[in-house]
Amino acid sequence: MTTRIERVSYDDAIVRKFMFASILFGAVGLLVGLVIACQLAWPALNFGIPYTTFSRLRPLHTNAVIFAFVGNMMFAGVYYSTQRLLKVRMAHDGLSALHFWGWQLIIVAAAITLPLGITTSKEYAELEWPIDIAIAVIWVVFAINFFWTLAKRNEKHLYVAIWFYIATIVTVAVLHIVNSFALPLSPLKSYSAFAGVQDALVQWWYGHNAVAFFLTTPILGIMYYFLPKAAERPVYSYRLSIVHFWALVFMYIWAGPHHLLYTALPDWAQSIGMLFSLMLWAPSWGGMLNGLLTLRGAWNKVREEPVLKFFVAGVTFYGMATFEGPLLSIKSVSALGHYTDWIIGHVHGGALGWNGLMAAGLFYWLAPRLWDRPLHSKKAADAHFWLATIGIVLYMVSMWISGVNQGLMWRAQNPDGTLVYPSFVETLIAIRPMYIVRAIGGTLYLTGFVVMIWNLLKTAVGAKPINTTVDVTVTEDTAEEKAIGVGDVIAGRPLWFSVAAIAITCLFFYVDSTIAAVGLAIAVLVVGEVAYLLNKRMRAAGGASWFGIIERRPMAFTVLTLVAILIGGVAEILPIVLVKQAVPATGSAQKPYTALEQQGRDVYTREGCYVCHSQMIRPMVAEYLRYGEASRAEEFIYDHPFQWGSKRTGPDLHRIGGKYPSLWHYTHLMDPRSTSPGSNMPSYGWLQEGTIDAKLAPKKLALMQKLGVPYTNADIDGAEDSQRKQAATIVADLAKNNVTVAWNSEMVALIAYLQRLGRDQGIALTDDAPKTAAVTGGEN
Amino acid sequence: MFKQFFANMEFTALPIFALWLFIGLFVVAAVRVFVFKTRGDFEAQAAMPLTDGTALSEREVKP
Repeated sequence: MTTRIERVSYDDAIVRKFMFASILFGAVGLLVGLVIACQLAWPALNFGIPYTTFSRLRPLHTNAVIFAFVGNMMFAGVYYSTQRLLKVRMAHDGLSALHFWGWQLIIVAAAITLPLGITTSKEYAELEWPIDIAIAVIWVVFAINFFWTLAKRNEKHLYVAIWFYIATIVTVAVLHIVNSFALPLSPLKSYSAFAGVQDALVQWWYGHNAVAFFLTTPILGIMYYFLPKAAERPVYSYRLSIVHFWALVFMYIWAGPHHLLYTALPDWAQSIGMLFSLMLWAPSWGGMLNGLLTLRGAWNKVREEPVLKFFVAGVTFYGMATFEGPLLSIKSVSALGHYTDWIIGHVHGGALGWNGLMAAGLFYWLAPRLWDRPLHSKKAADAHFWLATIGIVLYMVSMWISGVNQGLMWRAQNPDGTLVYPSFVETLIAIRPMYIVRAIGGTLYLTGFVVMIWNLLKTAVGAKPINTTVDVTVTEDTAEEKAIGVGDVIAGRPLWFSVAAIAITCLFFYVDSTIAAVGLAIAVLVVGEVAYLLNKRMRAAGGASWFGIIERRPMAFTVLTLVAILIGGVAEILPIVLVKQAVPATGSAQKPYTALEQQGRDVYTREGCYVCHSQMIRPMVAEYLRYGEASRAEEFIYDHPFQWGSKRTGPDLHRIGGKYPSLWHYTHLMDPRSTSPGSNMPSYGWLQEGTIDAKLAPKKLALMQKLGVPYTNADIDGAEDSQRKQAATIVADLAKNNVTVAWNSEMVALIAYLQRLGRDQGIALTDDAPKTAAVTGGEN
Repeated sequence: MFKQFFANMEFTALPIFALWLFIGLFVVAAVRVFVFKTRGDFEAQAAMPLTDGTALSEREVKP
């Protein structure tokens, strides 16, 4: 074995840039979050302006926090730790710069398009297709730079943090590309390639794993590097980190369907989602405990060192969030908690607690090292810590109370079987105090963040930014080590024993005698025992373990990680997408949307109605009483994209069609509180003035035809005329009540869509509209 | 076999079976991690964040 000393100058400038961007966009994301929290308590704060309306700002808030704040923070941590763990400068400064500026350009594009209503309506994937392509390109730039650095590294071993970064890069690429499959209508509008149930499953496979592989795995990598550095202790158990990594990346990918419990998704997929979510408890807590136990013998430092305070609290919130997530995935708990603020409290425990506090710890640790000057004020950092912690607690507790309260009110029934609170608004008014407490909690958190900005600025301004230079010891591979190749990875005994054990276990499902089953069980045990004995003999002879071989080989490691995450994705998504029986069709009852309804649907997605209204009635008595018959999978087969939503700030809309006359919808959209006193819905007055592009209708239907919606050529050719005719019936209906609107107004198109919802057939909207609710004082 | 396995099992026993299966695997993994550890196996890797070099001063860097 030979060693040599090599001088390495790290690229710390790129770390400073990402850190600055994270702080800047973090402040923006938190501020927008506070604004929309206030809007829910005081709807007048929507100002009647499209661009400042809750339903358009909420996606801006989530995207800013996830991709701009946490994204940039993640890149800062990855660039800093990767260079040091691999003992080499990033492979290409130009690629680093391209990654940075490309990512910021994407964020700016999101900040412009989302308030304009340019959205795909898929949560955390709202950005339209040109931006999606840009994200893919920039992500590839990041990947090339990262893997190139791996190839040039001066350190043979890949530390556990690097594994988490590899899993992040690979999985986010897969998730983003699959979930973004869409056909473009124009440069700023596309329709999802998937429909209904398939679209929902793909979206929540993506949505859940965006949380897993964008908000969790890279931050775990950061935890595994920066927490030992700050504590000046090695990680508690490296072996546990191995189990943690593989169990987490394998299990996480299966858990997406827990976002769709009690929906029209096939039951088997829901159960798998629940099962894997429950199993996730183990690796998640394994990681959390590994982090916290790293501080064994160093807990006294937590009292003195703000960095450790933030890390410890962040990891603790990770533990809380990963306890609550599986809990909420239990079907009976989900029945109560889903669509309520409990989920909002849960995700903010993760975002503000885990991501936000880890980010703060990271920045307080980095700043003195990147500017070679001690932190300006530890007292201010302590103040930030307490402001943030109290803010999070207020936020989470208020949302827990709000969610459970509202969930119970929705389902409460009188002895005669009727609903105790038949008016949705009643349940909304009951939780308004909690919305105010949430806004106070958010204000405290933002205040703490501003204190951090001040503290970091005082540290950095006037100081000289440094690029760290170190002398590293490089150990050359021995001849034996150089001889180990891909063949040794593929021929690894643990790999083949695992395959054999899985194969024997699968055979269990095909034998039909007890003796054979017992024989198979014994075979599995024998295979395991033989594997153990052979491994023991090999280690005694001084041979390298199989894991010891692959953890030095980035390519083998990446391929195995890819396999681990693909198994779950393929097993869940392929059957739903490819097997026709997954969605039973009901023949002629299913009619595609008319041209006008499709135009109205586009207005619905543009305004982000899905942010507050679900279109998925669950098979529960209380939901039947409140909304009508449970939603069925076949009712959504032409929905590109699906609009099931994930939160009910307002009532479900799947069977809203025909429930109210068109005048009610018009009045409600113009002034929600005139029909539903106490509602916190913004007014959408601009829909009366806005007009649809009538000439686009044939193009939209033709595109839908390409996606498999059974429009005839005659439907497409007559789309312009048909929308005018259908609109005329709504215009005439409104005119009877002295309301004048243009036939091509967005208002008329949206009413046409709303009146269609939940009906198998297109409906006439004049005489047969049930008069079940008065125009004012609507029931829901 | 799996049909008989499920058919002969009480409906309420299924989640209990799944729970025990999970706990069994969890315990096996935990024992493997904490009991059968070979000292020194991963000590060097675990210490990597602490041994990534000491920054040189400007005077040391300048030729």
